[in-house]
Amino acid sequence: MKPARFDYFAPGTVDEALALLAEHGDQAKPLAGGQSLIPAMNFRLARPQVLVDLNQVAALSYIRANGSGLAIGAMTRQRAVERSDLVARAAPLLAEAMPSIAHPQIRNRGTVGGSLAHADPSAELPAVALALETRFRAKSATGERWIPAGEFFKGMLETALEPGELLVEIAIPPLPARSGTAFLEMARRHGDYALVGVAAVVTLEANGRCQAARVALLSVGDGPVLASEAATVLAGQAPSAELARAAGERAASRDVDPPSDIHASAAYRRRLVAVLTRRALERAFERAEKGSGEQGAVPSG
Amino acid sequence: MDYLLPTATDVPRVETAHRETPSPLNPMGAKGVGEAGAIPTGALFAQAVEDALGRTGLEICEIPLSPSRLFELIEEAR
Repeated sequence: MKPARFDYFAPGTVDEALALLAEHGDQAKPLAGGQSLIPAMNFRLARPQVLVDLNQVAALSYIRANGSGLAIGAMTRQRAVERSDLVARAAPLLAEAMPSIAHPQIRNRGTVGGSLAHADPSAELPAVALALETRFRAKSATGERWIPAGEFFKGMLETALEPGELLVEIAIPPLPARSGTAFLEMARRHGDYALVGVAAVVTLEANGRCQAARVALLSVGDGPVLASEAATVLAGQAPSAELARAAGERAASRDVDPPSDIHASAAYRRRLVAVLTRRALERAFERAEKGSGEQGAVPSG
Repeated sequence: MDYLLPTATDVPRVETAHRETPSPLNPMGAKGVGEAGAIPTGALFAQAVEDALGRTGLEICEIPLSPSRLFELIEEAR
């Protein structure tokens, strides 16, 4: 199908883009990599009257060290993040999740900001952003604000961004010492939407006990889900296979209320939550114990 | 998008063997081909999965056999 009629603007700067978004309000949609918006327009699931194409805004494409954390421009291609040594060092969880996003052709065009602002509940980046306590920098013609990940995702394809506001940057804080991370997902075929995915971050005390854990799940609800019940199981405990299993079971029974659809039943998704959470936590603990967030070879399954 | 068809990358390694059973109904012993090969394939996969699962008492009578569907069947058989 072809999209409904729309007006098209291709500003060269953030200020021009913001002025266009302010002028057209909720009639306008920013166009990033177009890997979700364009198909939605072609199916006529989306009918924006005005497209503000950000692909000429070169200033929004960067990956920078931000203290010992990271700042990533909203228009940075996913493939650039996947291949960045800086990302691999400063945010290994993000680096590990990138290959699970669709296919290389899509990652060549798809952007970090586009995926986050689209907020598909089965997307990898929102769950990773939530697990890493990412902050979102939103700009409008009248100012800017920072939105924490916990407040950014509002529901199915819904974020805290207001009409006229543009996501321009994300900031990923550094992980404390003795932290480990892991990303896992289950999909029918590589590149398909995940049936369930999990992004896990654990931090150990000097004595080896678990100080804090953030586990974010995807494809189990209206948006990324933070498994706070699983985190309470982990807090203060010594890492073990049994502890990871208990946290996984708790996540499955208390943190999620997954949907049934043609790809998987709710019961199967719940089982995947338990198993993938356990495996991700085991891997994250192992990496935290090894220190330095070194990823090493990732075993399959 | 929601309808998964197996593509070239999903086809397992296939080993072929020949067994000749000529038809008595015509001078050449020829038989029709094409659809005949497609009919038992799903059932054969299902039987192989049943066998792999050992003595669960599981009987698979339908395809497609998605991971989710297989999970449900195993749970039911327990």
